Amino acid sequence: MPAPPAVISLEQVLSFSAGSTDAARNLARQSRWSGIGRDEASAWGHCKGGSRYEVCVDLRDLASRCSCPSRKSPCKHALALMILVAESPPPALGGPPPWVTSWLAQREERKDRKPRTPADPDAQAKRRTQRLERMQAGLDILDLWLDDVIRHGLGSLEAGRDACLSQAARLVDAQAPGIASRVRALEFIIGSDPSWPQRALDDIGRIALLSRAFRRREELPPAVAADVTSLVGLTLREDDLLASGERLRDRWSVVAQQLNEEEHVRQQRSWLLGSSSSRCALVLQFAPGSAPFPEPLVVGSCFEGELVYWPGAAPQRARILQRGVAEALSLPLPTLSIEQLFDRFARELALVPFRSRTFAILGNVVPYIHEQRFWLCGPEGDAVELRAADPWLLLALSGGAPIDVVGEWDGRRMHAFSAVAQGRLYSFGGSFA
Amino acid sequence: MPELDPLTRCALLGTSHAPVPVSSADPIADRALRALACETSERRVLLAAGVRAIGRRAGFVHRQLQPEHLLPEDDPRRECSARAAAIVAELLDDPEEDLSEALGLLGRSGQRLPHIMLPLLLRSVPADLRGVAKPSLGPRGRWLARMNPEWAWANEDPLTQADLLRAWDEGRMTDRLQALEQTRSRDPALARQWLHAVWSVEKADARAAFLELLEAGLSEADEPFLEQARRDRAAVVRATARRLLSLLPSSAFVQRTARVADDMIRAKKTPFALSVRIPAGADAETERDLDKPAQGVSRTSHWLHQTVGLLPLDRWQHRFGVAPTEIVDAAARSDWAFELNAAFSVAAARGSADPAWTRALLGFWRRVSGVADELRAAYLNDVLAGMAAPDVAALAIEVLQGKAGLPSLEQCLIRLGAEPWPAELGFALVAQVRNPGEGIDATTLLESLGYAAASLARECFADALQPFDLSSASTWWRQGIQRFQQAIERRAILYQELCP
Repeated sequence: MPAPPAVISLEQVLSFSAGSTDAARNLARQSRWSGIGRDEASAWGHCKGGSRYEVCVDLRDLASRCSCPSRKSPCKHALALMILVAESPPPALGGPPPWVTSWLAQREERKDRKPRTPADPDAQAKRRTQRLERMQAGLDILDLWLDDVIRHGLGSLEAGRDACLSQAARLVDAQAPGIASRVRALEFIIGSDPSWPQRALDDIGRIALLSRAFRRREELPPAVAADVTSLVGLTLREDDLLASGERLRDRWSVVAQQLNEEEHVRQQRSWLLGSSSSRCALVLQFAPGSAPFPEPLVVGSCFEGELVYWPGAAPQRARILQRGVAEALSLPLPTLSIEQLFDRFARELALVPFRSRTFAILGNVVPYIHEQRFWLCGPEGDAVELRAADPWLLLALSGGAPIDVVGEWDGRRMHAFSAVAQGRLYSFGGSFA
Repeated sequence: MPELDPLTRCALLGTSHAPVPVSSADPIADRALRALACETSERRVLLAAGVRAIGRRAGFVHRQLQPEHLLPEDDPRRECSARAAAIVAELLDDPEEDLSEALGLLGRSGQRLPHIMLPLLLRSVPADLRGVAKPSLGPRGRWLARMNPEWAWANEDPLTQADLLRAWDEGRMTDRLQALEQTRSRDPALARQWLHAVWSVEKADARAAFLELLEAGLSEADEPFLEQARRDRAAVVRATARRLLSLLPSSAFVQRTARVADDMIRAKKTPFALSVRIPAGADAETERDLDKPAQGVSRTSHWLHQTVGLLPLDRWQHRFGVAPTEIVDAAARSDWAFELNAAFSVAAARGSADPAWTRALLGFWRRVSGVADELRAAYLNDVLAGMAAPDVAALAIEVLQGKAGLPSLEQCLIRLGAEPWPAELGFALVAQVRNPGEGIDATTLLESLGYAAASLARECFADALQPFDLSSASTWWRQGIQRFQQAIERRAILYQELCP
């Protein structure tokens, strides 16, 4: 058997996700493992602990499978196996056992699966028209409620916060989940602090504008109309996405990731950065229960591949069409100053006025505490507020020196998901607000 | 509520109560309001507010801050390996006995934790390990801790004498004990003066607790004060004072006690024999020295404990001119066999006696019959306390190999404590677990592995990590061995990474 290709480095595995790698590094000891082996494409083994888990990793894209109940992907057992493979390639004990080969075969099968035969276009168009009508009916009721709220005053909301939730539920029934979540979010603003009326009015105003834009979408430029329709909650069907979405081939680095669990469905948001195009892309994935996400995306890795963007005036969300072997991403990442971020967000808002967040890597900022809040401070003393699952990690990494912070800008605050310090990418993970 | 702009004020009150403002003090909103002139009032407010919100986001202005660039000093130490860091992180998440060892190793290794772990260290280290953890914080950890009041301990300087005095005068009991202990270690006479000054106003329990602390740095200068304490109202204080006085060989108390003891224990030359005679009466000072027996303790037993038990053992072979074995044997033949050897055992616990004493006493407690198991175990603990660690380890090996039954293996291992065991004991235990012989049961062996997990010496790691034959082992045995090997592997990695 030829020497296995070195597709995985220890540095790469260790930079994957700060949360799980600690546990994984501890599991990565030979005494914990039995029946360990690898070949060119995969690695496998049994990890002993309280129970005995079957763990295997597809070394080509770092997809993993483990019989443990963890919902993380890769779980600590899979990460531990990757560390072992990276540190000291275990002996290849013949070929992989059947449970590995059958999993690899399943993956191949899924890749080769033919796209479904397109449904009858007329029927599809009819269904879309019906859906848009239902959404419009939902928004009509929303508009009446908004008018009521303004007529009786925002103060009336304070007494009945449930109203936001029941309005949101109605919008979900009307198949407008995007605008529904904006209405639901009002609940957290009402009465939250002394300046809440102003912030609630901002958000209610933007909801009203979005609703108005949806009503008049026929008059808007097609790209803006596509944004508005998807923000209200109708996303493009796969066939239409493949037919009309912009395709982009690049070397894509996975630089940030968040995981959210909601009622048995896990949602993963991964931010990808193209190294020649400097474009970024948000890949959203959903998985029920503990099932793996369809596309394994590991922070700190990168791959050559092609993405397709959902159409819009400033496309953000994308899907992976095709990808090569996973490798470690290279640093440094292209960054923006705070001023450049503001400029870019202003330009994006000019194109997509309803966008709530944008992805950015702020370069050369110092995490700093002021008035009991955390800030990111640029070289000229220009500062923006920092939000993170644990802001102290950013302070510890920086030690008062500038670092690069990867995250989302919401128009007021930077939500940090990863950071680059001392030539390393650290991922803080965490769920998103 | 802060001053509201006209548009928000109108929205808050409601258009049914307040008119839509003509001007909102925001040029974008004003333009929107004018453009929306033909809409309803509610629509005008809603849409103008939306336009204003988007305009604000697009025109967001950053804060101007002047960070005080107080940078942490450079830390010249190199970062410890990812594996060592992972183990420390795991122990911090779920502190086990190894955490203290791990932090100690790290502190002495000349390596530092990855910076990203400092918040975890500052948050999770248990209060009693903060001292061990401090070197691992390094300049960056201390810099970080200065920004969070909850982490103030990281930058606390050693207390000044004035701080200690304040704690002593005004603090709670724990603070006062700490202050007195620290002062005693710096200036023994000062600590004694502090205690003397408040002696008459403290409660009995407090007096006893404070007095105990004088054991550190004890000297003849303390004798007058201890003499005063010996006459205290409270029995617990008197007992503590006598114990401390007995540690001063030249004290009047030791002289008096030795005279009483010599008077009580008589020897006959040939054949060598011992007899005990409890004096019918004693002078006042002796009565005070001997104090009253606790309830349920015989007068003889009490007198022997209060005299023989407080005197060094080695005086007896000089006095009688025979070896310790003969003294213990003669005691065993006497009418007061149990009481006399019990008192010798209590004296043995003071340490520093000729090893022949502990060997002989060990033999006695193994042989003697008619003694309750708990009593025998308690006096064996006294004997073990007087033995040097290598001797205890040798004893443990005998027990392990079924060559002796007492003391129990667990007693020996507890006596050896958390310090790494002599290597021979580690090798012997692992060998016995691999091939369990007769004479020691599996439960005991498995329990010993629990102690070994924390105390096995480094030289034994490789041996302990060799695979065990578990093919026919029961589940609990297999799991016990696995837990042991995992703990040892964790320590092995720490040693390998932190002090190669």
